[in-house]
Amino acid sequence: MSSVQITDTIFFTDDVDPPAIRAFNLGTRQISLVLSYTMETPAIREGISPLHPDGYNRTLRPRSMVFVEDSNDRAALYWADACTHVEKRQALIGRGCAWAAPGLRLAGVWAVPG
Amino acid sequence: MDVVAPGLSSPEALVAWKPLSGGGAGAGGLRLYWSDVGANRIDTCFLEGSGDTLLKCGEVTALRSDVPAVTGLALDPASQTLYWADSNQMRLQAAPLNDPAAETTVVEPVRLPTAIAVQPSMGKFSGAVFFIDQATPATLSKVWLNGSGTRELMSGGLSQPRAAVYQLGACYVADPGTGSLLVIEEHGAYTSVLYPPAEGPRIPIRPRGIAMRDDVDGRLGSAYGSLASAASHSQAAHTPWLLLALAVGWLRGQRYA
Repeated sequence: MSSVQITDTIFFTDDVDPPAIRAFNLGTRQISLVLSYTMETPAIREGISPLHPDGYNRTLRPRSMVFVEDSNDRAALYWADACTHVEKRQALIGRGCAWAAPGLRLAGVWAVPG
Repeated sequence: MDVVAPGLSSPEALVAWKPLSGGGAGAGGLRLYWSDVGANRIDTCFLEGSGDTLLKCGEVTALRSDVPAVTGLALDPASQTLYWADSNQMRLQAAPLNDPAAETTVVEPVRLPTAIAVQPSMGKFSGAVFFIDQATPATLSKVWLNGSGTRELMSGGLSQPRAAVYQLGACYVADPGTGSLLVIEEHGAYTSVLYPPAEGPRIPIRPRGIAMRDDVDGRLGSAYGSLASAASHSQAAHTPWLLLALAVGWLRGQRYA
């Protein structure tokens, strides 16, 4: 797992192709990539077809995001991915993605079509 | 990667809350709330898990199932009130978490609300809700919860702002239209573009959601930037007066030497 700083950092969902989660550091004013995901990302590939039943390609759309820490100092990002123009069957999916500052871990959870 | 909450339609806005006390499953744990615009719902679940496992949603329950087009969600932990932006009814709504059907209108009309953020009440100081109206021209405004009015904080420089977070005296905004991250002081005293930089290398971004730790404070860098900018401007404007003051001081020194 790669290291991601969580202090002095603003995380954001990036609605680009492929969708990405990025971190903006307030001190350095630099943006770094936390992760990106596509229809070929294993969990997504395993869960859904890349094609809509009508033949349209699915399009991943990362949306709102929150940062939370639990009582065990585990840090996680949760975000929604509102795929548009797909059948109404989606899911929240979680995946540990990175180690963060000492003693804190950063994970990701997002919603994708299920 | 694991499926933690199947059966959603089109999740859009998302907030988290950590109940500090109270009974019931998950008290002291983490709870997620999200809007599902495809199902006209606001849903919630407790995050369950232990050890090194990723927290997953427990049972998903509908807080509301009659709210189409909820494009923004925010939560005031102090008053345990949920706020949402209803772009279908063009208004901001609020309801207590323990009685989500008891909704009240915070402000209307808002032509195209896309994101909201809550500034919690602090003692005698009223809380407020920051809200983005994406109708042209896009604006960021603030409505006080004690009924003392609404104020527009920013109107220029926004294209398609879609996310807002309040923290430590400032509101952070993500604008995928301009590909920028901004911070706006809570009274609108200053606005600063955090990204992209005015010069130097940059990457194109389309930020749609933003999140950070509770202790992140983007005001310092922004304030320093503003102050530095103001200082340089001020120095240029006041240089003749500064030279005159130095000259007067030197002359006085000569007289008493």
